[in-house]
Formats: sequence, C-alpha cells, structure tokens
Amino acid sequence: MLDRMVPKADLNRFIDRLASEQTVAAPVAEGPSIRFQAIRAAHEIAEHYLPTALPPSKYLLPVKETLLQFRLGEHIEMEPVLEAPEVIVFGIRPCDLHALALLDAIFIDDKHDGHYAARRRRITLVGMECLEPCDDRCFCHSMETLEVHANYDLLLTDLGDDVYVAVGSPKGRDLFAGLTGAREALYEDRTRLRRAHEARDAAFTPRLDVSFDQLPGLLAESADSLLWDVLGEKCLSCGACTNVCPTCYCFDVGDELDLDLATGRRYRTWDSCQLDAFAMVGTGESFRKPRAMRVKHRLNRKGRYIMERYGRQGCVGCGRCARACLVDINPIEVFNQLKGQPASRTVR
Amino acid sequence: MNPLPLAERRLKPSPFLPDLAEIIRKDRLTATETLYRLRLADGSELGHTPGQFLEVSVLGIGEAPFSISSSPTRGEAFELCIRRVGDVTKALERLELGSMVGVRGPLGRGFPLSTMRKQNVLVIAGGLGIVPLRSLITNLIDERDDFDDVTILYGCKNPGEMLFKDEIAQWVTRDDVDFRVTTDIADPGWKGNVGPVTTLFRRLEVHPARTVPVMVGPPVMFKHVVKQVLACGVPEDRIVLSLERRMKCGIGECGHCQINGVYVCQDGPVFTYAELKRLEEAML
Repeated sequence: MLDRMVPKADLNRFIDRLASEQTVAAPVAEGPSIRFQAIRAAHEIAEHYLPTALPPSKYLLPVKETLLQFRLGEHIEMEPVLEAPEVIVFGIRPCDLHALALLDAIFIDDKHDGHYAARRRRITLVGMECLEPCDDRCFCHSMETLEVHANYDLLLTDLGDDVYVAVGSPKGRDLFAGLTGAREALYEDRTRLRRAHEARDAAFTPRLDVSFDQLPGLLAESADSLLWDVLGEKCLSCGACTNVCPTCYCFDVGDELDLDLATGRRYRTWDSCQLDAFAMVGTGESFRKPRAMRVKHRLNRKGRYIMERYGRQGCVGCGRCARACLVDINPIEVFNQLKGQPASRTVR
Repeated sequence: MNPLPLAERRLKPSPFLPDLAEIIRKDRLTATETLYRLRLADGSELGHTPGQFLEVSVLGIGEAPFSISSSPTRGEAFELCIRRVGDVTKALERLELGSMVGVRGPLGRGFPLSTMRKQNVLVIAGGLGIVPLRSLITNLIDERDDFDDVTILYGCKNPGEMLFKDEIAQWVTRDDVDFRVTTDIADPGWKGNVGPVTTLFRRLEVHPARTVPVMVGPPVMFKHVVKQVLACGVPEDRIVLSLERRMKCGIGECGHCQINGVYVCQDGPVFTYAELKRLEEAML
C-alpha cells in the first residue's frame, strides 16, 4: 500500500476532526506519568513520552472485562458478552506494537478467544516510531522490537514539519483517505525516512550482552542460579511489574450477582503470577510459594517460555517493569548478570 | 439422540460460555465428598477420555475445575466426585436434583489408553487421586480384554476416607483385577494393610517392559511412588501421572496452572514422568 506524507499541521487538524467524531485515544501527560486516554483534540497528545504507564494492550485486555451475563431461575439463561468499543489508538510505540502482535498470536491464532478478537476487530492501531531511546531502562534495540514492519494500520514517523505515514492495512488506508493535505510519498520522502532511521540506529545501542534469541538458552542454563534467591529476597511481590507489562496477560475469573440475586455476570480481571495465591489449589497447596521462584517464573516467561511456545519475543524491552519496580529489579541487569556467570551458578 | 460432533459444539464466540448440565443424582460418599451424576441438557454425550476434566459453574458463585470420574464406556451421563472445600463446591452441595450447572469441556489431555492396550496396567491412587482414576479403572474393566494384567493400588489416610466402597467391593471379587488397598492409620474395624501406598509394592511383581504405571495422588506420593516404579525398571516415558493445579480458564490462557513453560490444563493434566522430571515446579 502506498505510503503518504503529510504536514504535521494537517495531521493535527485531522486528529482534531477524528476525535470530535469518534473515540480516539493517545498518550496524554498526567502529572509525572503519561497514559493512553481518550482525547478531544490533537494538542492534548504528549509531545515526548516514555512508554506510557500502562501499555495500550489495556484496550484489548482491560483490567476487568465481562465474559458472560446470566439470569438465574427456573430456566438459566446465559450469553457471552463481547464488549468491543470502536477506538482509534494513536501513538503506539514499536515495542508495544510487537507486544500486541504477540497477544494476537496467542488470543486469536492459538486460542480463538472471541472476546479478544471482537475488541481487536474494532481497534485501529496507529503507531509512532521511536527515533531516540526513551531512557536507560528501555532495551528494545536488544530485543529487536525497535523496528516494526507489521501489525499496525498506520505507522507515523516524525520528520520535523512533516510526518511520514506508512500504511499497513486497508483499514489504515481508509482512515487516511479522509486526510486533506496528504500526498503520496515520493523518492525524496523515502530518503528522508531512511536518514531518520539511520540516525535512530546510531542513537540506539544494545543494552543486553546477549541477543534476544539467546535468552531462552541462557535462562534454561540459569535455572539453578543463586541470582534468583537474591532477587527473591529483594522482590516485594507487589505485582507492579506484571500490571505494567505489555505482554502479561494472566487473569482471574470471577462471578458477581446483582442485588436482585437473579442476574449477574462472569468477568475476567488482571492477575499476577507474582502474588502469593496465584498458584494455590483448593486444598491450600501452593506450587510456586517462594518469591525467588515467582521472580524466576516471570523472567523466564518473558525471556524463554513465550518464545519457546509462540516463537516471538515474550519481552519487548519497553522497560516498564523496571520503571515500576520499587526495589529496582531490572531485566537488563538480570539477563546481563546471568550472562556474566561463567558457570550456571551466580555467587552472591 | 443425535450428538453434535465435539468440534462443532466447541465453536462458540466465547470460550467461556458453558453448556448446561442437569444434576440427575447425588450420592454422599463420605463426610466431605459427594458423587454427582450429570447429563448435558442438550442430550449429547460428553465425549471425554479418562483423565480429562471439566470446568464446572454454579452461576453467580463461580467456576472450578474437576476431573471426570466416570468412564466414557458408561453412556451419556457422567459423574464428578467433589470434595466440599470452597465456595463453588459448597454451592454445588446445596443444589437439588434437577438443578442446572454450567460445564465447559472435556478439557485437557487424558490418560494414554492407546499405549496401555495389550500392556499390564498398574494403577496407583492416593487419596482423592482415585477420583480421576475411577474413570480409567471402569474403562479398563469395561474393555478388559484389551489389556493384560490390571493391578490397582489404593492408599488413603484412614478407612473412613475411602471412596467408592461399593465399587471397590466388586473390584475385589473380580479374578481379572488385582486390587490392593492400604490406609495410613487403621481404625478398630480395619483388617487390611496399614502404611503408605508404597508398602503395597512389597508383594508385587512388576514387568518393567510390559507395564504402564498410572498414578494420581498428592505430591508427596508422587515422589515416593515414582522412585519405586523407577526402581522396578520401568522407563521414564512409560510412567504416567496426572497433576492438580489451580486453573481458571482451562484453555491455556490465564496462567495459573503453568509449570515452567507447560500449561497443565492443555498440555496435561496427564503427563509422563519423562515430560515432567526437568520441570522444577512439578514437585516430583
């Protein structure tokens, strides 16, 4: 599909119009943090931003989502609820687009989860390329998630006064058809884009001492590392890391009844493998009780298990977990320390 | 009755939408366990393999996973033996005959019946492990000619906790089943073996190349029994066990049952020892 070039002012007017007609979400500065929320005009969008506090995956897997509604009585009635609001999400960073591609692979391709699929159908993904590293906690370059070539409807690159728009889907093309001031991208525009990419590639440096596809092997070898015990002693098991992670999708399922005790619903809600009761069975046995095991489980999920099962990065290097962690557990340091161990065991 | 093919029954917009099943019988087995007999409201067969499980809902209270305790050889109704322990199981107990519950499944991978055919089958049950194994045992008995020697070892804490006493009385009288039972603590009326289930191995001959041991029980039992059957020379990939884990979705999404990279709900709950021995959290 043909890429487009548009002056920034025209793009902003376009966003203003879109936001007046439908739900448009974008990163907005809110005190010290930046978060995706509905906007009414383009000027609300944060100019420069770190990855948002919560990842845009919250539009596909919200904190709490109704799965079924039911009516009790002589004849039980129940039906699935597909809550799927139409939303255009602007300004998704490449790391988050990679995370959404993983969730698509899991919830649509593998699980045929109608709840997720319904939301996915009604969301429009407009990416925004990163041209500078956000801070010292991001490691997208090492996870190879800085570049993105698929799984967006539109991908914007800020070239100063103009924005380069890569069209990734018919949905993106149709959305953009309404934009005045845009023109087809020409050879010179592609050259400007390439230069921007070259500057970007020079600005980003690897943060990991291993390539992302070596992580599964490294983690498998490090199963007995004492580093897990060290981390287990530091970790508070608060679950902040899993709440902010764009590839975390574990959930709990529960029922709630209305006050009439006749109607109610079943919902799913975010859960965290870092919490004590996560792996506890009815008889009270917990299969991942020690914190060290829980920390290890999370980092193995990020660096190994998901990759082994789905062939994609289970961690996209966004750095959110490290920023959210109260005791500074940082996957860059963990992976590099494991790599730095000559044998399988880390000395305290 | 024209049962829908399973694949078609599963094609739903929501993987969380249960089928309705009617409680057609309830039998109190012990102070805490009840055997429920259910039938799908649409009249179709469950179509399960022994060792598979169901997510059972009492709508408004919640949903929990339970192994299927009846054999697919026994017609369209199916049975669940459930210990009263949490909200869902307490709510189940209060339901009367004719009440409807939600069921999703059958889910997971069951016992490998095909590898057991023409082999000796050594069933080892500890405590509630008899619940999923009763499905297998009934299936073995109903298709008895397909299997060589069938030996059943059953251990429970005390005689009062023994489940399926009526059926056990029948298994004991059969010539083609070697059934042995033990209890950790005897009571005055008990005349049988006392001690853990491993003590039943003492007078047992196991042909390592021709035997498939199948065990379900608490983690502590696995540790000792696996050691015992390995000592008999049974290869690791022929030792079959079924694990209990917390499960919310039953379809490999929610993460609760994960052991390292393995989802017990979809990759199991039945595994071979060879598959599990390197998984640290399997607790074997």
